[in-house]
Amino acid sequence: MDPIAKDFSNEQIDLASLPKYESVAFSSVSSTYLIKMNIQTGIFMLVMTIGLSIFWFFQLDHLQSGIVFAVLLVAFIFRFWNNYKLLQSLGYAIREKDIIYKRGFIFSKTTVIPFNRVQHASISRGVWDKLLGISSLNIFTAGGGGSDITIPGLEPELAVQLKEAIAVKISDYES
Amino acid sequence: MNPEAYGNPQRQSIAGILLIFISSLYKLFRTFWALGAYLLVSGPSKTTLIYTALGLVLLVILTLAYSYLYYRKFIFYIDYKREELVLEKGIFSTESTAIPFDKIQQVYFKRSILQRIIKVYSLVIETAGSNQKEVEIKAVSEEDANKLSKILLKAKAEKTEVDSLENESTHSEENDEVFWTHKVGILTLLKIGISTNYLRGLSLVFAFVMTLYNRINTYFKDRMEDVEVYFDQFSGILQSIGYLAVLFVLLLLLSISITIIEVFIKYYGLKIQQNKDKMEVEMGLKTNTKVSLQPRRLQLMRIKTNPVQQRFNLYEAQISLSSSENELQKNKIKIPGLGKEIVEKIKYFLYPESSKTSFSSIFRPDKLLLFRKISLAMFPVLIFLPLWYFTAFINLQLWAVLAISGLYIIGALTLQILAFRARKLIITEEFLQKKTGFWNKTEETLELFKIQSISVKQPIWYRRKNLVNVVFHTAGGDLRFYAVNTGIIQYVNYVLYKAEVSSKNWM
Repeated sequence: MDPIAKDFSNEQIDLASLPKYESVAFSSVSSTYLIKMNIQTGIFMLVMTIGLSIFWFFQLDHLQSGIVFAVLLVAFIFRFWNNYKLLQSLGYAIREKDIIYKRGFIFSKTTVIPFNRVQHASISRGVWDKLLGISSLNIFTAGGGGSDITIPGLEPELAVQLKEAIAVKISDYES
Repeated sequence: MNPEAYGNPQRQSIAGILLIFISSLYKLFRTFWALGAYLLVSGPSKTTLIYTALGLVLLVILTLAYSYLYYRKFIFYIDYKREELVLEKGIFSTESTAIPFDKIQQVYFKRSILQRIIKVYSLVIETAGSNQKEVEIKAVSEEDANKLSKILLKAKAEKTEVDSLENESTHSEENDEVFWTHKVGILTLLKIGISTNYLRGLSLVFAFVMTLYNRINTYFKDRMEDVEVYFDQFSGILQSIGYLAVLFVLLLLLSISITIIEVFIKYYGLKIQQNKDKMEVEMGLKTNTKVSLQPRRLQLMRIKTNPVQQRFNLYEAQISLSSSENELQKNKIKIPGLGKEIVEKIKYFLYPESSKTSFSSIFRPDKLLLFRKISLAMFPVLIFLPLWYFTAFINLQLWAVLAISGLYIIGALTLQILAFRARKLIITEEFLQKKTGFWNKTEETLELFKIQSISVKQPIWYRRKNLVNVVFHTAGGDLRFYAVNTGIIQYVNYVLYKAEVSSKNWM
């Protein structure tokens, strides 16, 4: 028989007393991110409208084009409303042992990554991010695309702080 | 050797241009050969030919320019200060990869025929990272290849000295005593070949019945004709049905033999051997694959079977491993043709503690999932009916249409309900197990602490019903369970807890 290891204990766990990820307080991201989303939606809308106008010029009569543009308008009002709701739903929280990120209003999704599973963290900034002065924090695991998270709309200093905090947490586990 | 060798940005061997050029031409050829063949067959006019030739010349010149630029932009060097190998490539968008020495798993050479002819080597550097598994420098001279691999391996050894020392000490204690061996014989391979392809067989039967029906249909349309013609036609019909039957049997035999050949090529000589702390799997006729399974590397295991195979006592194990040193081995390996007792043995070896648990909770999906699956399954009918009604594409009579759609709807409904009943998620103290499938039964097992992260999803219409979709991400794929009651959330917290307290390495 194996000798009993030191400091070994195996107490029963009460499921109800475990820390609950669903009841943490989430920090929200900068509202500048809403501007970025709206700019992107706006550009998309512009392209669509121009494309359809060209199409309309050759093909459709007034009634048909009216219907098309009405549908388009409704779709984009929905998109802008959805952007707003999306921003409200975005939130992240850092606990002692993991990071939680939630997003989505219609399809809400919460991902929890334990720090001892994080491969690395990085910061990325696209063109709009640079103009608006925000950053995204990317956290990668070995679990592939669905498992990784990207927290957008963070103030650059905050993003760096978070990244460094995570780096410290990771190296704690590695040593 | 110069300790700072390759410290400055390097390009590949100049012959690399040729390699890039030929391989891009080959890729272009592979994509467009059908187009070219079509052009030749269609009997082109002289002017078309001239333009095509001009286009081809232009393409070759462009490819050459591309190859040269690609060669110029492909840069690698060793950054001794930061202890990493840096690689930059790409003409339009630049991609820069840095591989820290301690992440290097393996360095080796590779040569294709083309590389042999122009006397260059491929240097492959394997890493343990998640996204980029390996880096390949495709054209280096023999001298450079040797030097580089020496430097990298040395640097790696220095960085991971402590680890390797530990590994060696455990290796010396390793016991090579074989616990058990399982060989899959030719007969079993035959059985696998026959039983895996019944679907292809079934579709053939269906096609056969449909053609038969069409024949008879056209015949009955003409039945008002003369009696004399009637007999002629009747024998003609019988004859053609005979031909069809022969053709059908031949096709069935062909399809089965193709599968059998496939199975033989892939799995010939399948052998499993268990030692004290690892299990070795060997198989393959053309390329012999040899994989060693360590419980530590295991991420996710699937056991598959269906009633036909169950009758033959055949189970298939699919095992996902975290990426390891061996290049040939993909992350997933399939081992077919296992008896129930062997599956139990493998399970016991990989999960020695699976038997003891203080609790075991079973979750089943909500009826909402059943409705969704059924409505998805009804889609073909919704497409088929208008297609039949509005177009002449499908030439069938009303009763036949009703019979086909009726049969389909009943079949799909029963199948979906049975599959829905079979679907469940079992959570025990150390394991997650997902069982699915009424006909093709699949059982997925995941050790709780091997998760990478967990996602909980809730579409807006789930909120009132208190349902969520849960995805457990692992390094060997995801385990998803849809439309489950929010009661599962406390188990999500439990799984997280298991991952966070565990000091065991997940790979």
